[in-house]
Amino acid sequence: MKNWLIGAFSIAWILVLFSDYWNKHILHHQAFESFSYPIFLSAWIGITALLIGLLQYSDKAKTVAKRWQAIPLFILTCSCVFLANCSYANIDIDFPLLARVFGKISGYCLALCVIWLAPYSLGNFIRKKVGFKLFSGPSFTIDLTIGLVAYCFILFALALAKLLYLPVIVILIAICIGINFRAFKSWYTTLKAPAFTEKWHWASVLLGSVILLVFSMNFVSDLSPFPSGFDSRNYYMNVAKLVADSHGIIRGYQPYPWQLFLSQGHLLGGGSTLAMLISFTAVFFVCGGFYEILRKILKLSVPISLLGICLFAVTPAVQNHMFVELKVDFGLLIIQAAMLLIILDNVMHNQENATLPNLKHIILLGIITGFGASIKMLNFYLLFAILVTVWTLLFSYKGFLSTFFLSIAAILIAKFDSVSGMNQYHLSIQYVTYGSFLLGLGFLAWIAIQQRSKWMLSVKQTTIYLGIMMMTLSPWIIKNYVETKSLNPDRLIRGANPAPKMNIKTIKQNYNRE
Amino acid sequence: MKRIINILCFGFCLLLLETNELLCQANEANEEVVSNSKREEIQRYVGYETLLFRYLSLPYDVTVNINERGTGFLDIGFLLLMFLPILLMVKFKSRWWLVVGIILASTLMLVVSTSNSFIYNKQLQQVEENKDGDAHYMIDNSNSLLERINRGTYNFNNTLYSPLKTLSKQISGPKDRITYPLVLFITVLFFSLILYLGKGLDKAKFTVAALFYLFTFYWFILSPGITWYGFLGIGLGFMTLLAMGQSLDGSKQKFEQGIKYSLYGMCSVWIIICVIYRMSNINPGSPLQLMGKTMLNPVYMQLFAGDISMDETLDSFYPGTSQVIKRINRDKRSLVYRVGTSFSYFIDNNHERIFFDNQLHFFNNLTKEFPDKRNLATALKKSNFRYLLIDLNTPTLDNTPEQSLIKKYEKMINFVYQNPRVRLLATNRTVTKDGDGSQNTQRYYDMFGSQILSNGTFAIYEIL
Repeated sequence: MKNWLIGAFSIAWILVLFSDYWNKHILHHQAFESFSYPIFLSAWIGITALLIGLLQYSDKAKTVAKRWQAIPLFILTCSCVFLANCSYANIDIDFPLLARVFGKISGYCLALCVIWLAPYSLGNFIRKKVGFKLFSGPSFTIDLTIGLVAYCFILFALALAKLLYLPVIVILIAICIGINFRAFKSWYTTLKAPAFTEKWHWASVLLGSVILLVFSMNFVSDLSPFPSGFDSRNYYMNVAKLVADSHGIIRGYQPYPWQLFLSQGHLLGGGSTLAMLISFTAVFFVCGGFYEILRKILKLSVPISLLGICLFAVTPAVQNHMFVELKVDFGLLIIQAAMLLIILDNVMHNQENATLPNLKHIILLGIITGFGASIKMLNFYLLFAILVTVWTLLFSYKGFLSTFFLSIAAILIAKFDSVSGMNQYHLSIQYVTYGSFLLGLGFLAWIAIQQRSKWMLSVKQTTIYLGIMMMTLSPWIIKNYVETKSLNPDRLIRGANPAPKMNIKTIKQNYNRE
Repeated sequence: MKRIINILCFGFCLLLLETNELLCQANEANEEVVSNSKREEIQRYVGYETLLFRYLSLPYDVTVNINERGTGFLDIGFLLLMFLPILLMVKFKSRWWLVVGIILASTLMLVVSTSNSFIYNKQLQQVEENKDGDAHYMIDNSNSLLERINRGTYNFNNTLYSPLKTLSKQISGPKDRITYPLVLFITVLFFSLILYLGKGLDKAKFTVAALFYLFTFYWFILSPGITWYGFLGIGLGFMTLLAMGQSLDGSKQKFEQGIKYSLYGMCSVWIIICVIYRMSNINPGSPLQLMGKTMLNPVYMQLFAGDISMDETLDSFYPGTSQVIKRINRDKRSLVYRVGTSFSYFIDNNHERIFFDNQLHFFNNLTKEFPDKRNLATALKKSNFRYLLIDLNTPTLDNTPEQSLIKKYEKMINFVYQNPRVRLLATNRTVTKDGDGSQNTQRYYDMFGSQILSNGTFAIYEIL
């Protein structure tokens, strides 16, 4: 009976939701009706099918395919995407064009490999020196994240000293890669390893092919002289360009460590194109981070994990950030993936007791949380979610209720909800604030009474975590204080308004001036 | 179970306290909503209906893109909302109360959302609004199967909406006291359910589900409707979905296998839709001959291939601007008054030179101080403003019922109209100066004329 009820509702729900979604998305209809790439798409499907067939029936194919070949394959795919569009752009295809396109794309890919290798190498080096490791084994995402934090701090210091010039960046990259020279051999071994194991699945190849196609289309779209999106041009990529033009820190704006990283595109002579490509390629590592979570933590199979990556990568809202609105969200997602990996790795390892077992994990988590918050303040959403989840794991319902209500009180007292402007509509906001605060404290006190020693340890760990997080954020807070001379929390976070200081009174005074 | 009952009682007491306040303060909920920049710019993503329904309908609105219709930047797809309730019911079907609860909650959300929505009539190429469940949609033979389902659903939901509408008017409005406490109560209740149902589950999987839920909640109350602030939630949502789907792998029941294949089948449908959508890259307003052929921007391709110069690239998007931008950049000390547009990127030192007034709030106040447009231009000039950038699509951002932004924009247009103290430098609006707009009539890039042929997207003025 229940199966019938669930089945009937499921069918109705799917039909109703899909029919409404399809009705509202006219552009999807037009996309199908005016689809103009049947030959290209057919060729792509054919090549994918051929590859699957080769892998299925030829053992040699499995041994020939190596991991490092992903890069030339990507360059080749990008070139094919470009050439497939030449007729619509009225560009004649000839050998000089082919050479130019292939050469430029290869050049950008090589530059990007070097730009991303630098923080990864630095992070890998630091992690080994510090002796940090996840219980589930080495993690590319963690190494990259540690490296990005350190690298962006170095860039910040250089920017403060107005030293953001090409030679300095080149030296920085060389040092970051060279310092970890002992790892070169293991990287070489990793890249030379076969791309397919004996347990490969046809769905993995198919999904990998889709992901490659989507990334290639968006990569080639970013080979443009300036960004297309409104927010990109007015803020995100604009700040990166201003930093590069000024060769250092610029006044105003919210913290912008990711834009410091993006400014390398301009400083290395690649202009807006290279800066946009750095922003775009961050999505590769986001997908890598998500893949690690799917495989190592959730223990999903390779095809299902690739399906998860594919679903994320093809989503129009996500793709929009790959080629229209190039922002800092992918950079933030790398950091958030690392935060999740640390938490989930600990939970997985400590099924009985979810506390973070050692100081290194807490410090690292605090540092990368603070770095994430400096990229975009909405990392606080994940911070709250992590605190509430961890306390729930520790203290069940009481843990959840205490941290949940305290987080609501913190949000309302700090007026985080004023950003959307929705707070003006909630007339009970004061009651909710005080009520949440009292409830949160009450449940916290209840835990303290019942489980004192465990509560003390958890409070200590949480305090250390939040303290380290604030310390990581502090350089930017100090920068904002120096510029605004204000201790208003809003000013400390948002920074000075960079625009010319202007108000009605000033305009009237100037008008009345002779 | 006892804990859930305790929480329910606790929440009921909270609501009782609030109801007393509500009844005493009912009139306050209907006080006039002040229009402001945030209402125009940010709240368009969450909608403008009754406050309570704004939140209750948000998951559905965000999935189907009701509040703000964009070119894909808000499109997160239907998979999460489609399969999370189904997989939850399948996973915990031994608990009948949960199955019934999910069905009721989903139906409530659907009714509230569709009754403050619209249907796009493809035949007539127009939007048919459904405000407060007032519409009735005709169904005839020209409608496809999906259209019939859609229209039939809306008509049915409108009848169910009627008592909800009456209730909402009693306890809510543009502002109220009940929504925040109710949202918190529902959050606590649902998370308690997750805790209760998660006992015995693998802790890591439970943690992923908990993080997804909580992250989505904080996104919900702090950035409602702004999907790119919730990217991590989308990723976590897909992880949760697929983890639940893969857990059905070991099941021998045909029913559960059917659900699993439905999930994978709809995933495939979604991937196909998204890939085709990206390849076609439809931009509203593009010429018909280019529809579906702009996977890559042809102008950027020509520049990349070396066929055109950078100036030609800029002028092809924004006629006449390459020289204007150079002029603005030579005049290093002058200030630029910006109303929308994205020309900041091309202006050197723009962080020190550009004054933003995207919602025209400051300009509106200026017009009150300087009612005469010539005096206003003089005032701006004396404050070192030499250039004015106007986004001609500014009115399209206004979804507020009071149309506040449109009114302010009209003041801006009036300011530049026949004002001897300003001079148009560049625009992509095309007009005729005389004639009937037929093929032989001369067309000009200008702001005003006898007939506007295409509205354009920008105008750059010099303040003299």
